[in-house]
Amino acid sequence: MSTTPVLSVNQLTVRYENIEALSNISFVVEPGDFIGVAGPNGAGKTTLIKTLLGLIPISSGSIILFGEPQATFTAWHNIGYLPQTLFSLNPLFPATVAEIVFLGLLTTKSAPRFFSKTDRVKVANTLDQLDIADLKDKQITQLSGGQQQRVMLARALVANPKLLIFDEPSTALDPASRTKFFKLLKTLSQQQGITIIMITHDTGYIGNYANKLLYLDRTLIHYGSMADFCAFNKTSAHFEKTDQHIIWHQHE
Amino acid sequence: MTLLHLLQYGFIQKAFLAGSFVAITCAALGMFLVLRKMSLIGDGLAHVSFGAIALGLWLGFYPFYIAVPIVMLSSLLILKITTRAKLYGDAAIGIVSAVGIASGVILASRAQGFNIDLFSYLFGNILSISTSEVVLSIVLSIIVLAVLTWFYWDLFSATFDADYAKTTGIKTNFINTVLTLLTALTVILSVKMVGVMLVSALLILPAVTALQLAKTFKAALLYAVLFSMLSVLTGITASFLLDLPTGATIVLINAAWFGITVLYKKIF
Repeated sequence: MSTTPVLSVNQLTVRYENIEALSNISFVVEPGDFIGVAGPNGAGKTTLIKTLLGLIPISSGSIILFGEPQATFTAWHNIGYLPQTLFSLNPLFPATVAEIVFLGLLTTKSAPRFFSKTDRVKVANTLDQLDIADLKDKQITQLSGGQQQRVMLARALVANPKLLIFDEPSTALDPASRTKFFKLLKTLSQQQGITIIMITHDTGYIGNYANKLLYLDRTLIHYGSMADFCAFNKTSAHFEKTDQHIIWHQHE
Repeated sequence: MTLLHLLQYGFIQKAFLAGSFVAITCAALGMFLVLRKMSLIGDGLAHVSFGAIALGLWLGFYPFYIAVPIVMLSSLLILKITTRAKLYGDAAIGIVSAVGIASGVILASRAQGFNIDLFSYLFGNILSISTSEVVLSIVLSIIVLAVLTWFYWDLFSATFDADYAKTTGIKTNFINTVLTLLTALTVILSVKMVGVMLVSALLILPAVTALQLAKTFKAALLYAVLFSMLSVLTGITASFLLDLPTGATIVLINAAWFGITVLYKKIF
């Protein structure tokens, strides 16, 4: 496995007009890390991952992806992104599961983008891998939240990314589907060495799967293990100020 | 009178030919507009074309030569207002549309003899289309369809999930610009057929009808094209046989298909 960090964030600051959404954030993500990103509402979690993906401009600082500055980075097929659930999707949107998964391969092509036989095999294999091959011809809007989430994961995985970035993927899932989904991610992380960065509100749950927690409140409060997060003086001081408490327990 | 008798008339042949191309273009483009919640951009740009056609007639030029650049620039202005003034698209369309129609009304009030020509564009008449207009419709339709084919997956991805599309390297701002410019061209093409007042129906109705039935994106585009062509061809025929205004007949047939598909979906 390569030893080049997957991601290095150095003194990152992001401003919207006069508001500082993220302030002076630095951290390094190593290959194979499974990182939970947590923090209160408005802490800048989504801003952070959208900035990593180049969707929001950097005000100051830098982001290095796979050893390459973000501004010149072109290997976007190495990064898979799974946004929040499709709440705003038109209920009649006429797209099948297969059509949606093909979108994950666009990153490997330039216009005019057309798909080959090999691409069709990749899509079929990814659907098989996630146990959703039987949904291939189903309309995306007819699926349950859990099934839609698997389809979006298939779209993120189909180009064989080395880094997966998730924005609250478990929001639409019931507890059973959530457990299944997290186990699947853990398997992907362990078997294929895929690095995962995941926003979650569920700090209690993520501790069972992630090896590191990144806790944000517009600035970086903690980056390290869950155990350190609970014991660390700086986090305790932060939570005393905000009248919140840390509750975390690990299940076997 | 049979269809063969009808096809003996040169003006019917021209109407069928131009109408078919415009129908295909409107249906394909309309699908992207409806799914991106940009349905009313057609209406706004049609209002701008009213002002532009008035300007053309006032200056004594062939109106389409003036309408093409003005409507295309206005479509870009809608995008600029949306991003720069941080307004929703519908408000930006409202502003540009109102300025377009107000300019047309002022020019019409100063008119010396072109009011009749101008008002013929309000409701359109494809039966009076000239040979050069047929050629223009076919050429512009082919350009629009070729661009849509070239950017098919980019448009599909940006329509489904714009943020995700950006992460796969698709330049969504460029795609929005392409889509808006194609809409401007299509609106100008359609004005002659159904008139300023009814253009948006040609963009919206085939798409929403197809959405009632289609499960895949390609099927949705195919259904929209079929319903659009069927409505245009039967609309032209019915308007000729029953002596009805052509544009309005086409729109009502389109609306009837929409009603039928909604009922069909409810029953089955």
